[in-house]
Amino acid sequence: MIGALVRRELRLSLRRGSSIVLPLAFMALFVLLCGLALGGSRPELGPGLLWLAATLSILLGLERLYQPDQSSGALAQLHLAGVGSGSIAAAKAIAFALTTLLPLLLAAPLLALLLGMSGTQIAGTVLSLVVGGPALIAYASVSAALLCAQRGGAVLSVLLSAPLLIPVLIFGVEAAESYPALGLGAVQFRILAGLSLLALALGGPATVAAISANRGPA
Amino acid sequence: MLTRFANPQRFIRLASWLAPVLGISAGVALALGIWQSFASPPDAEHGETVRIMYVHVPAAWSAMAAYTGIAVASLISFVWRHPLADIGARSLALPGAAMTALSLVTGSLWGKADWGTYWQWDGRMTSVLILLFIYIGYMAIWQVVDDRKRAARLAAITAMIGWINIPIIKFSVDWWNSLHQDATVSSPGAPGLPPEFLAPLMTMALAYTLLLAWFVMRGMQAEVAAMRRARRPAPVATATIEAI
Amino acid sequence: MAGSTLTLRLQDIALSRGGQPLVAGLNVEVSGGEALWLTGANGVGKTTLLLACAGLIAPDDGKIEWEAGGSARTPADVAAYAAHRGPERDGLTLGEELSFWQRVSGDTAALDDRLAGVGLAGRENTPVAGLSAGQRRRLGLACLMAAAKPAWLMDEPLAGLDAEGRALVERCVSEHIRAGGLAVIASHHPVALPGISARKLVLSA
Repeated sequence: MIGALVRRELRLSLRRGSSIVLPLAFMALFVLLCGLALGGSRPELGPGLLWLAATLSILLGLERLYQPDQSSGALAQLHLAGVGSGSIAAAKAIAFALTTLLPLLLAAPLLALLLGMSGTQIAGTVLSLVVGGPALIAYASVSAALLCAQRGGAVLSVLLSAPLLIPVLIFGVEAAESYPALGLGAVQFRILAGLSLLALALGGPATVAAISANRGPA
Repeated sequence: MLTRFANPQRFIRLASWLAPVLGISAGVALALGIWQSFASPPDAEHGETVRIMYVHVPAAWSAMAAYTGIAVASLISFVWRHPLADIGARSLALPGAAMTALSLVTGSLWGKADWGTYWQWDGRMTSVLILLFIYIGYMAIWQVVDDRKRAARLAAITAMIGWINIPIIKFSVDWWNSLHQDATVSSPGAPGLPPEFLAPLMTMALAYTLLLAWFVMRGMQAEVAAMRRARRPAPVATATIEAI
Repeated sequence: MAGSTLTLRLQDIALSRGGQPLVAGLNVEVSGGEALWLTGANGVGKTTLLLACAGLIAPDDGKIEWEAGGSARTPADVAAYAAHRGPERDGLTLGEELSFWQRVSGDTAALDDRLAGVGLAGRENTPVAGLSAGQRRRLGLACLMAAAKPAWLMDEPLAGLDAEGRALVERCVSEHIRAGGLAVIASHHPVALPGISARKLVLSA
């Protein structure tokens, strides 16, 4: 069942290519602007900027996570068809990760070169995004699901998710920065992994509860 | 026991005498606390500015306490779907946010006087600022979601996740701060505080708690009254069943 | 089909929309093999009543009970709901959309048969975005049949359809009810169901 839901999501994203291209273009533009504003290559700021770009482009995608299926009544129909909110949440999260986080991960090394980052710095940043990615997705899911029935709820979703994302952002950047010296064994990586697990444990049930509260018409 | 206190009728009777009692005792405690604050001696290290502490520290405490109250009430509302619990949580939000803002403003004034800067990326200050954003998000949900029952569910979910995250935010900001900031000038904390400073602090803490309780009582009274007043008008349609 | 023991019972229902009360004290019972036609002016609460029957909103007051085979059921167990607007998303084709809902409902019929059944044969590659209102209605009907539930809740199933399409819907509903199903149909247009036991619930302002 989750497979069918994921395929539908992926199809919708790929058909409307902009939903994959947009976060990528946004991230590239963000790095470009940062480079210009901060005076050229600033490798020491690289991990922070890339994490910021990844976070912002995920927030950019919040609106299309649940809102279209809420307003078209698909969430209600899935419920009546006996599909649990848990499967919906899992499928949406997987598809969201594949269409936003994965392209960003693939693009991050190229953007890192723009910032003049070294090979180990790039590896550290990409690895920290992989480890912290589940937390980003989990909190994005909750805040998107909470306000999917509200017109223009996306701005408020960003406001709701930002405080939750702060620890992830802090330890993501710390982990990326500690990688060249300490590798994957750095305590920051372990904390980041812990944050991701916690975010899944917390965000999963909360997303399910929010979907159940929101499946009726607005 | 829960249902005993959760009955709106009983609540109205309770609130009708408890609210004035809370209001008056809050006023008395506040007056006493302010008098004590000015009667206490200046601090050796901080001088006269230590008096800001009597406003600042209890504000931060009650901001946290109010949010904990919201989280507990939200849990009750989420599990038992009791309307009084979500009215309680909702009524705590505005006073709680006000306390948070007060503690930020006084903290920053104190910082200016003591550290020479309005803002330190200090673990405590930063997490209180984040708490303010959590409050704003929580209140915004009540604001934008029209359907009352749905708003109660969504606000409760938000409050609970936010509450679990507060210690994590504090921990991560502390960690970040220890790496990126020069050690902040130590501020006087409650433990080990000499009695002449502790007395006004404790009185003020009591006064704030009573004040908060009074605000919540008044807020809940107003909400319950508004719900009664909004006794719905007659339905617009009548239904008849006919054979075809 | 669950047979004639299927029952929908509304007891003392009060409904409101956006804080505006619509109807109160509504009692009605519908059983398998029977249709209930909801009619009334715009905004009088037909859709709200359907949503409540589908369990998607809670009534302000009263109880809505579904019963099949002698035991209580949830709406999701027995009911399928064809909303005024279908769940389809622009960007997919008709075939992808319908086979997704078939898959979700566990429907084993061939996609071509489902499409042919609602007069959309050979159109599986048409993008959903390019469908007319009437074609979307037909897609909704196909999803409803694919859901294979004994109770059909239909919101304006005849709107936007040509004469042939209206006849199609009426034929499908009749067949469904003859097979022991139940239907609650909100519609402005009269629903002609010859030979079917049907009642009319008029909501009047």
